[in-house]
Amino acid sequence: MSTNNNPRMPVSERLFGLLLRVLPQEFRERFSGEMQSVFRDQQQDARRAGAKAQARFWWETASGLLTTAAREHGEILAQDSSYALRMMRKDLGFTVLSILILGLAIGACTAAFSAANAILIQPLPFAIGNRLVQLQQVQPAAGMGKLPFSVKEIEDYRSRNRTLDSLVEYHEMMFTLLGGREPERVDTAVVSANFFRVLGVTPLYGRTFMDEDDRPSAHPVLILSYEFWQRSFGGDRNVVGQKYSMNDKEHVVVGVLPPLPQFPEVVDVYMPTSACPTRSGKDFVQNRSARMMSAFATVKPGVSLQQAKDDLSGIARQLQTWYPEAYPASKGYDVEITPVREQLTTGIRPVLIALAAAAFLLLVLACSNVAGLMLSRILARAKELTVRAALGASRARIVRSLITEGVMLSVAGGALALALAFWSIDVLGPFSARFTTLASQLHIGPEVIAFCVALSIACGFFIGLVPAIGLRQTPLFSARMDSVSVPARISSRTRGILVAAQLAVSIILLVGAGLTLRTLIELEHLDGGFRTSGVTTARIYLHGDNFRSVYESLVDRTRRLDGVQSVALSSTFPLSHREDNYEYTITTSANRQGKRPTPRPASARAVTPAYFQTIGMPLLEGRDFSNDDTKQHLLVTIVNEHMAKYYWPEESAIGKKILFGAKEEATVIGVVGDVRQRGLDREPIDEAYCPFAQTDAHYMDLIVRGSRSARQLGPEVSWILHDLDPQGVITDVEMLAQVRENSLAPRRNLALFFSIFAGLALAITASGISGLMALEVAERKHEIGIRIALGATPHKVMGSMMTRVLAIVIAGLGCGFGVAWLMAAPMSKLIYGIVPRDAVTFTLSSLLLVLVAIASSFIPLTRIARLDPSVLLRAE
Amino acid sequence: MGKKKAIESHLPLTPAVFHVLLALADGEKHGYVISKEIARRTNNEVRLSAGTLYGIIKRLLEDGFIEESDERPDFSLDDQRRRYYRLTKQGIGLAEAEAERMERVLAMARAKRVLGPEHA
Repeated sequence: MSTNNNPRMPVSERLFGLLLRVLPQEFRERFSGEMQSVFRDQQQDARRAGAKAQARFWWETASGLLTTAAREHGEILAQDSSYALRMMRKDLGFTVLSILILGLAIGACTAAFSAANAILIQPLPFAIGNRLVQLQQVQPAAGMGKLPFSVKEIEDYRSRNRTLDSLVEYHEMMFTLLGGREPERVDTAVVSANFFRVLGVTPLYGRTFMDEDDRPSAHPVLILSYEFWQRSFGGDRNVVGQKYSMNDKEHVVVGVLPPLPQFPEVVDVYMPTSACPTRSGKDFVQNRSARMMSAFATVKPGVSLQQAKDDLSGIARQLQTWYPEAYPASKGYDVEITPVREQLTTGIRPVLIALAAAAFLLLVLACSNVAGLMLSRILARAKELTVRAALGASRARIVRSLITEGVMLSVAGGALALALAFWSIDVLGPFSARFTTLASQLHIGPEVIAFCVALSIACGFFIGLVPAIGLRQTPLFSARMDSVSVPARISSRTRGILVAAQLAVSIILLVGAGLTLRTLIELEHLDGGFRTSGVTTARIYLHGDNFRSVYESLVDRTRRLDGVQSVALSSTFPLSHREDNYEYTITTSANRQGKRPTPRPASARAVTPAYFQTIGMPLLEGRDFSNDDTKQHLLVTIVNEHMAKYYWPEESAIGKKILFGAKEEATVIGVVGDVRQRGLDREPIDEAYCPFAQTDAHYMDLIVRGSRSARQLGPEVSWILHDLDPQGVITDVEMLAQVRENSLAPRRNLALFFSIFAGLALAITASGISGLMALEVAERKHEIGIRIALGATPHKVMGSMMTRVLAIVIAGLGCGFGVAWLMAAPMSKLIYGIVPRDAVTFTLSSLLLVLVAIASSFIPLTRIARLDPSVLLRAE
Repeated sequence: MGKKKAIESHLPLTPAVFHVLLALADGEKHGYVISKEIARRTNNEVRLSAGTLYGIIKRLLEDGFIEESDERPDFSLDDQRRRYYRLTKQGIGLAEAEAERMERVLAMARAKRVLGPEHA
């Protein structure tokens, strides 16, 4: 044992002493003195032989030590593993339970990591993902953010900037693709020719766009998204080169994209800007205020976001000076840039962080539970450990074998976890896809497997080490290990701490589950401002110029179908998530005080008469639209209550005038109730409804109220539509109730995930408490026997033991409450309609946990009543 | 027969192990002398560092091929940390078995004229 670091010892020998530490302790204890002696003699020989010999000597010494250390550790590991395997086989119940508990917890962590890794950690799957930004124009004084760009603006920013490598444009349109089996409505992205080059996307088949495709005279071409190609063309690679008709022009498919997450939206096909009839229109190109496009750019290497922002803001100021009519000073004007990664992950980030935190808590709980089980087992194996110690096994060696056992259990749990993680992709994928297109990147790759293995090993160390710490400084290897003495008492305290930790984690997860469940219940019962029962919705796409008369006939003939009460058209309907771009800054007539409140953005929607009645929105004041509200008559509008109260508080809005942007003035003829258009958890905004006949709206939703389901109505409406317009397309036929259900799916999934975690936590904790009490009763049965023999009733003894349970519960609840209280702020992003420190949730969660704690300790405690003191004392 | 089989299960030996056995064949030695003799005999081709040497010694001790000697030189003449090792009967048997095995291999090499008669 002379691996000492005597300061008077030469540095080389001290260094060798340090190197010896790589050897197992038992090896060192036996040979280190001799080895140092050999080292010193060999070193003297090397010194005499010169510098080269010395260098060789050190290399051989170090490599020899490392090789021997690896072999020795390997041997010990093999021995410990085979010993651990024997022990695991001997106690199969414990082994299976531990693997199951660890597997579930490590599996939850691995699944959460796989999602976080794919969406938040990995670089974007585009060549320059980290430098990709979105540009957005804002008019801060008018409260307008996220303004799209016009062609002129795109050209200005593209040519004048000094900080961007390239700038591409993007907008989405719906077109009808003809030439396939039947007309197909396709979501089309209209992009700059260099769009795919900027993203670094190479096609699966064919080519991407070339600069020539973007010239005004170019032959129209299309690129298919991978999903659309699979869905509509069955993955037929011969589609490249095929011709299809779109917008009355022949389009050639020139390429198919690989299965990458689409950006910024999921679409069916891509076309260059020259092929889009609206975008390539002469008036549109020349009109600086005709804003429709999104703009994306790559920041030059070495340029910070702030530098790029300053550069673009400079251009914005120039444009404001040159074109004051397009950028009125009263509204303000600037450009903002946001990293695309941030945009793609904003919605899902808090959700994934919450899930990862919940999974981690479950892991802490599972490890505490299994560590407690291990500790109980070690006490049961005290005799065997004493024999091993007597045969020469050092305490370090025994601790090491415990850790090996922990790691083996945990790695077996890890294997189960990996299977669970593979399965979880089917659940997490669709869940994440509701938040981000990056969800398609979710997979179990090498880094996820490495994470799972590393986590399993770390858990194994914890599970093996905690019992070892519990036994530290105890006379483990002294005599009388068969009797309950110091180690049992100390381990009882450690077990108590482990159970308290499980209770603390359980309460945090229960509060999390409670808050998300209460949020879901709140939202399910929330009045969205419309009635879903009996309402069927469908998206209609018409081809041709006579669309107005087709719509009219469609409404008329649908109304005559059996069981239909009312029918209407609308440019969008609540929760459809088809955001219409008709957002205006509204100028209103002055209110009674002669004031004009500061204009703020409002959404304008086109509807036909009877829309409010069909969707179940109350008409609070004035009248509904009629068939006479056409372009030939006075322009009219109906506003929602939210808007009426803002502009004309304490007076009627009827008869007031509204100016939509620079368009004509409309007169308010009615006020309707507020509707949560964009989500049940999003507050109503200002809305103005215009009669369809007075707008240029083209694509409308059909809304039908009646006694028949969407499944029954769909085919009949589809038949009517094809009769009226053979190229017309009807999609998304579904009940409004279903739309509402679907809008809550992410919330429901989140509540479900939390509930599963909390349920598992509760079950594991219950088993932990039950195991703790069973062991305590077994260990203390002699003492209990004496107490009963001396006159104590079994109930009194049970009561005193129950007091211990309650003390542990209070300690665990206290800690858990503290953490749950602190976590309320981050949780606020995931809840709605309740406060994060909701008293009901906190109270019910703790009540449930206390009940479970009492119930799970009750069964082991009832054994006390069955103990016969005379038998116990005779045995003693 | 059983003993012979037990010994054969350890064959072939690594050169380092065989050299340690050879070094102890003519009497007990401590670690440094073992390593020194091996280096000298092999013209420095086989050099055993402390780590490698004691890895071999540990295994040979555990398998009963060598043992620690109780006889120690005079206290004033020696480092007290040194221990002396000697071959056991099984150890001698193991060295013999390995030497015979090598002899058989050499005979085969000669028969195939891989080695000339000058190596005899």
